[in-house]
Amino acid sequence: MKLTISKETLLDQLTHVVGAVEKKHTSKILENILIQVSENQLSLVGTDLEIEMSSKLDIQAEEPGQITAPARKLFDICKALPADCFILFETEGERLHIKGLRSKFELATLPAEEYPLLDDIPIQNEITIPEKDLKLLMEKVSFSMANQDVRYYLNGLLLELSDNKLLAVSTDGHRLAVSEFTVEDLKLDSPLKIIVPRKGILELTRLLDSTSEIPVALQISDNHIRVHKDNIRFTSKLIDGKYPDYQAAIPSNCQHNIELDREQFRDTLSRVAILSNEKFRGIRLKLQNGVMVLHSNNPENESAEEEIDINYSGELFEIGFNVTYLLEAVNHLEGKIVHLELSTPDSSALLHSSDDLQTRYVVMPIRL
Amino acid sequence: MLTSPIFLEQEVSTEDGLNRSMMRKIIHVDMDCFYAAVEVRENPQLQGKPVAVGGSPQSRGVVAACNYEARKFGVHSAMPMSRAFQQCPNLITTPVHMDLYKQISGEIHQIFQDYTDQIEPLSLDEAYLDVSESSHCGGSATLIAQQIRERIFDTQRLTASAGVAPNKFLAKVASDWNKPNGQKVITPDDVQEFVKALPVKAISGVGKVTAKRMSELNIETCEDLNKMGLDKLNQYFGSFGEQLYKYSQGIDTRPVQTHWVRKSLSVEDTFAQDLPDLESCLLELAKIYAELLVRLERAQKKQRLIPKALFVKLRFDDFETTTIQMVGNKPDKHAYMRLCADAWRRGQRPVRLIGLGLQFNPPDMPEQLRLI
Repeated sequence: MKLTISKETLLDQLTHVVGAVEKKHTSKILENILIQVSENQLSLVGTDLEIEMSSKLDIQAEEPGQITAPARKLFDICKALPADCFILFETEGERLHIKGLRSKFELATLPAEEYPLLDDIPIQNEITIPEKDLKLLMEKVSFSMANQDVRYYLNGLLLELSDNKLLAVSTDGHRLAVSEFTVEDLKLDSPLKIIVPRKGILELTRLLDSTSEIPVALQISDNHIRVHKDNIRFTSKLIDGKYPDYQAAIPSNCQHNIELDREQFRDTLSRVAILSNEKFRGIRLKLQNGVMVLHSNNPENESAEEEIDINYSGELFEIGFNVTYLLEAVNHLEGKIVHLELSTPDSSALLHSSDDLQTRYVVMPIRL
Repeated sequence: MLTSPIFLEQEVSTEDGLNRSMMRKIIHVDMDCFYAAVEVRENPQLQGKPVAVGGSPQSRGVVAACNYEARKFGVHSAMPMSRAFQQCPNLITTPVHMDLYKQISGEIHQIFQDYTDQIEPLSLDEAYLDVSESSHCGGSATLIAQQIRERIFDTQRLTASAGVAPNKFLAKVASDWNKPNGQKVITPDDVQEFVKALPVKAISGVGKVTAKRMSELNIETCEDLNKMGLDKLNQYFGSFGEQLYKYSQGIDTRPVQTHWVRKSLSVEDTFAQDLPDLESCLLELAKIYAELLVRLERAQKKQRLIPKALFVKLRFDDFETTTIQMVGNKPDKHAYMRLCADAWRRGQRPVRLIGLGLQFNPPDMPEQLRLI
């Protein structure tokens, strides 16, 4: 195998392909990426057996061949080579030589035949959605996904497709995020629910461009989801499990509906957060006639207190929250005004904005 | 420049703005080879012979404790009994009589109670005592330690060693200094000199691996540690760095913790015969899980325990050990089975030991209510 390619061209592809590969794995080949070269195409594949990122580039190769090489090292080398440099790849026996200007590297390899590739996937459904909208939808929801939870179906994002609608949901059991997007001309025989694993969502978000209006296709089979974007193909297995009933977790008819200036609320929360307990992040909200008092204190007995004028009248109402949960919700809502809906100190709070009707966040309080 | 840090750390600020310099007096009492000593006391014909307490070599037991005669042959606790016999063919073994050790430990605890109620038991045979406020023996911690050891010997015919120092770290180092049946006092004035020459291996928390890393960095004594500086220590030893830096100056502000806080609970089982495959592991797992639930219920009667993670530990027949854990708020058999399967795939070999466990949130954590 022998080919020459410009640094920038290669790096564009490698960035995404390497993202699929685990840094450390008990099986060495899963720390590698697959490099396949034909006379006029370079193909790169990275996988962790759950997601796969592959890229295809038209090139002129000097000598076809295929090999696998350590993903991280390969990426670091290419990134560190000087700008505008041409990189030569050449295999010699079981070694891969990389040369750029006056730099030379020699990497250990493993045989390409042993690299695990996903089998063919029978695509059953396909929807198209503008790239930036798909990215935004995932960004609005993905921060509430669970991480390494024993309830494995929570370590991912629920996508629910029904007629003219794509809905995304995530929850870690303490808070929940839901957002929807209207997809015109979407017709399905029956609504479809899939759970895409956490890492797949994070890599897919990274792949997509927040300014591009170009439609991308989401292809869905029983066990996989696939997205093509330029030269890159993203594939992820789906989590086989039953997602909890998210609709039941969204409160309705809350007793208090507090209107807040979004930026003021966000900045106040950030300031009060500084002196909350670093581990538990608890803060206290007190509602009294016309004013909300936010209070935090930490084990060193330091404290913070702020007031915001609000549209509240009634008895003193006190509730505690993990300030991170509130901040993340407020940060991801759009618009000038946010609504904080509350009922009792033991029941969930709903956050939403009238400029962002598609998105709702639910946060459970803490008992302080 | 830090001047006399041992005083600075103890300054307690009171509300009226006065600073009260409060020097603590901590005693670490450590029974000499406790289990083995009890067995010898109960069977005087064992006197002077190498004795190990623990499971039998046939059932792959390990040494729970051994006396000094056995240690001369290189036998130590946690060593497989079969290995111990290779090292010391004349070794006499006795089974573990935990109820008896618990009873004696309780009686010794009663002696401590006469001097202070600030007692932190570390195990059946070790405890920290804060005697700062004690008026016994004219307030002399040295004499209190002496008296406690004498009373233990008079009532139990067992020997104990003790360390007396201004904090827990140094008290523990000191109790080891003149072991067995001895004691060592580190006065506040001695701390600086004492710590300088102290080998890092004496610090609890610095095991073989850390000691080796330190040796590679040319750190042999606490003075070397101190010279490294806080930034470097943080860089090399992560979250342990700050504590190491404080220890290297003889500083340890940890209070004697009279209320023991449970951080985790686990049940493990070593099998008389290796489990050949994953299926047999999963079968055994059910029994261990049942035991875990029993122990959790018992532990929950004593304190509020809110699980934060579930873990599975596997030891393969080549002694390679792997632990895998996930976030979770209650024990869940299916979750344990999945974790066990994931852990098994890392080795794909016969399994010698399975452990199941839970980690708990700190008890002062405010209760986060659950949505689903």
